[in-house]
Amino acid sequence: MRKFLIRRLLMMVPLLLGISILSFLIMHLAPGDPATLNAAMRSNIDPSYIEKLQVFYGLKDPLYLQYWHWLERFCTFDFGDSFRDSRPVLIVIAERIPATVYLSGLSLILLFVIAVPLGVGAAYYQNRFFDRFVSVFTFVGYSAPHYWVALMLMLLFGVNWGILPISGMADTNLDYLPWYSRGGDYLAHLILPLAVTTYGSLASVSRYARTSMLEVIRQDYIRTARAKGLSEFQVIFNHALRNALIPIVTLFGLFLPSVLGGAVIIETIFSWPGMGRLFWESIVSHNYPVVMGVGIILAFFTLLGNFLADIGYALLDPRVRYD
Amino acid sequence: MFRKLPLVLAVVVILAGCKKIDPKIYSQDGPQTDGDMLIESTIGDAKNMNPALVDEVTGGDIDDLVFNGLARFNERLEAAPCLAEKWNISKDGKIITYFLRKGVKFHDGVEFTADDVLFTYKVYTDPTVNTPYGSRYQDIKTVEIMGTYEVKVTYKKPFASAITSTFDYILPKHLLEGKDINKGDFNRHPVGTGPYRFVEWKTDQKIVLEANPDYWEGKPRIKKFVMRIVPDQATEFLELLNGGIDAIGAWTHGTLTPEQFSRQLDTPKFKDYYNSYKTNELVYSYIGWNELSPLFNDKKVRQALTMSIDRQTILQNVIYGLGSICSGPFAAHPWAVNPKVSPLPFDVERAKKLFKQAGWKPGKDGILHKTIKGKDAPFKFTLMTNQGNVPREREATIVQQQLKEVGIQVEIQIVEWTTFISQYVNKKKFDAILLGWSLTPDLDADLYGNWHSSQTGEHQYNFISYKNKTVDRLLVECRRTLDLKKRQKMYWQMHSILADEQPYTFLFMPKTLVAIHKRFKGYQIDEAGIRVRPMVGTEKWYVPSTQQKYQP
Repeated sequence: MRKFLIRRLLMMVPLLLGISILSFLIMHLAPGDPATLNAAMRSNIDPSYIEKLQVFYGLKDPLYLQYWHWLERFCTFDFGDSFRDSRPVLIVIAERIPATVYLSGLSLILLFVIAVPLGVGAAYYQNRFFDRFVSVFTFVGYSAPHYWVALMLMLLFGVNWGILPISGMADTNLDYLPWYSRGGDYLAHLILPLAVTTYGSLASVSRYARTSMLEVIRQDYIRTARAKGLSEFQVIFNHALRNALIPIVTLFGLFLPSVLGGAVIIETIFSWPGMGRLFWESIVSHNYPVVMGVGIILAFFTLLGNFLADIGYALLDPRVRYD
Repeated sequence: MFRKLPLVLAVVVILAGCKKIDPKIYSQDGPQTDGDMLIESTIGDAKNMNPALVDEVTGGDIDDLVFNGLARFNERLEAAPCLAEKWNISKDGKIITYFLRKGVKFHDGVEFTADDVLFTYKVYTDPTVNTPYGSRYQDIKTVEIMGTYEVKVTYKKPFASAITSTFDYILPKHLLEGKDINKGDFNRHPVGTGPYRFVEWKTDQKIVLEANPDYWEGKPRIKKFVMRIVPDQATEFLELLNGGIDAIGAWTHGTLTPEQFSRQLDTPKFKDYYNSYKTNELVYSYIGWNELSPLFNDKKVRQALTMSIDRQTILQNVIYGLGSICSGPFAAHPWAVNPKVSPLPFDVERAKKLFKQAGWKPGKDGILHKTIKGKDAPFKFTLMTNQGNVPREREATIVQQQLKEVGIQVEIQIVEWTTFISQYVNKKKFDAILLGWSLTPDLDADLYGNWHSSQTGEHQYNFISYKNKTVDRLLVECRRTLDLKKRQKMYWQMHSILADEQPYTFLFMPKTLVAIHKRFKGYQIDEAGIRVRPMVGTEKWYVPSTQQKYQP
């Protein structure tokens, strides 16, 4: 087991290196550069400004050299400075983590807390009303565009009924609210984005849970358990659910990077200062250092998520052994 | 139950915090008391707030509130005194002596003097500083301090927009001297002499300013100004209806979309609480004809093209008529527009005649044909525009249909912005492009850059390769003339030349669509006028005490 863990951890190094080369290449393959994007076609700006920026950003060097400089700095955990505001990329990213984890983390927990019971229930009542209801309910959430659902909820809960704030993480006037209503204010701002993010992902997780449960229920040991005369509760929760949860753990591991990665559309619509928006805006504005920074961190957490899922697997399922 | 808990909590909290005001009260005025807060929003956050470095709108908007220049524009877009009480211009136009306002203080309490003016000059002309505005100072020979409140600027040759385009933001020497301008802390904590001082910036959330009690024009009445970053325009509008923001486009560069303005304002939620305005902005859209192409090097053809395009229909269909057709590159500059020039009419018959005169005859395929260099050529071209600008894409489609009527086959090509610039515009590899210009109030840089025949290099703005000796001469002369009256005459002449030659088909100037909460008073928005940047008179805005919403 220990050997396996060490090997897996060491494997991450070349993987990360490969990912960094690929993302660097793809990023630079995209047409255009940040200086032109900033300053072209604006008659109040000196045309020479474009070249000035290109030199300042180090974009005049050949590509392999640019990558090498990046790698050198990366080895000392220096991700460079953001093209946007010349602040260190690590600070720019760190600034986003609380808001992102707050929304995506809670959403991930809520997602599994709701979706797994739904899926398990749907499997237990297979092809009956509850199963159908869960299918329709979750697939509506899956198919409806997040963008539209969000705007409708904002219109209803915000503009029409006036019970929830529409966007942002907290009231603009937060500092002047009494301390006891600040918590409530944060919560109120969380509800809509949380609901939309979670609802949209219910379908996939509940389907996984349903399929996995269906498979387990048909196994011989479940029949044995029933034959032993165990109560239905014990059969389902002690015997079936435990086994059905194993693939779900993998799924949880795969979802883990999204906690840091955030969600572009939701964050944009709800003016949420999260990582998804940072990543997206950096890509669009050719902010290479931030794109690389976020990309590498997300890649790392994806690998870590897989790794943790493997460990979880071994812990939960005695049949799995890494030797 | 567990899911409902936060909802219930939130409802309780919000209801408890609500103070309902009957909207009828907003039609009344009241005592001009200090207080309240104005919340606006912007789609993109600022990059930094150092006026020497700012190259985007949001940072510039904040700078307009935090900083002052020696001069600024009045509502007729003429130079008016600001930190300089007055200035003398020598007869030859080469020496400008500024007399500075006394007793003006930076937000940290240090007095503003001639030292700061000289320092500002040094920053803008320092080659290591990444400023996009250095060329404005290139004609200056020396800047001399004549006394604590007197500065003499000597030019190598007269520079028309010297007063308005240089020293437009004064930087504090005591905070910046010897520091790295490109990366310093000042870029996120600006200190100026303007009506509002910087309080806080939460990246991608909000920028907060507060009234500067020592402001030299008087203490501003609105106590706080908040710029929220709301990246989605639909959200922005919902926030407005919900009271999360108070205005769009009041002190900053926002605008409602034409759809919102013409379709979504007629609700009690909006009408009871907001005033809406249409104001002119210094922007116009156009089709540029590449004069290097044999299709467009004939003036008659360009005139005929313009006459074949029904600009009124485009205006109606694309932006709901919220704009006006223009005849030249001046947008709404009151002193530069020649009142005698009017846009070419939409007249298909006249256009057909002109095409015929230019040698274009209808062929069997319904397309115009001409023999160019011994070869038969159909009138076919590609109209390009950049991706992601839906109005422009629509405009291109309408132009395509309208030109088909006169026998011209247009293909539309929509290209990502930077590719568009670097692969097509810079290399002049295009037939015609549909774009827009946003102009400065002063015009000199815009006009010289767009129309002088020397400005056709890479990254320069005469990419259609327009050449006219009279225009060249006028532009050079204008550049050396500080007297606005004299410049006006030359601009009028230029206007009629450009309207005749049609190097561009000038399309229209869209309006800026503004919404402001009714509780704000004390401002004037002249619907025919222009919003002047930097905002003049923000310190006079107020909310009567009975109508105030926030107690910041």
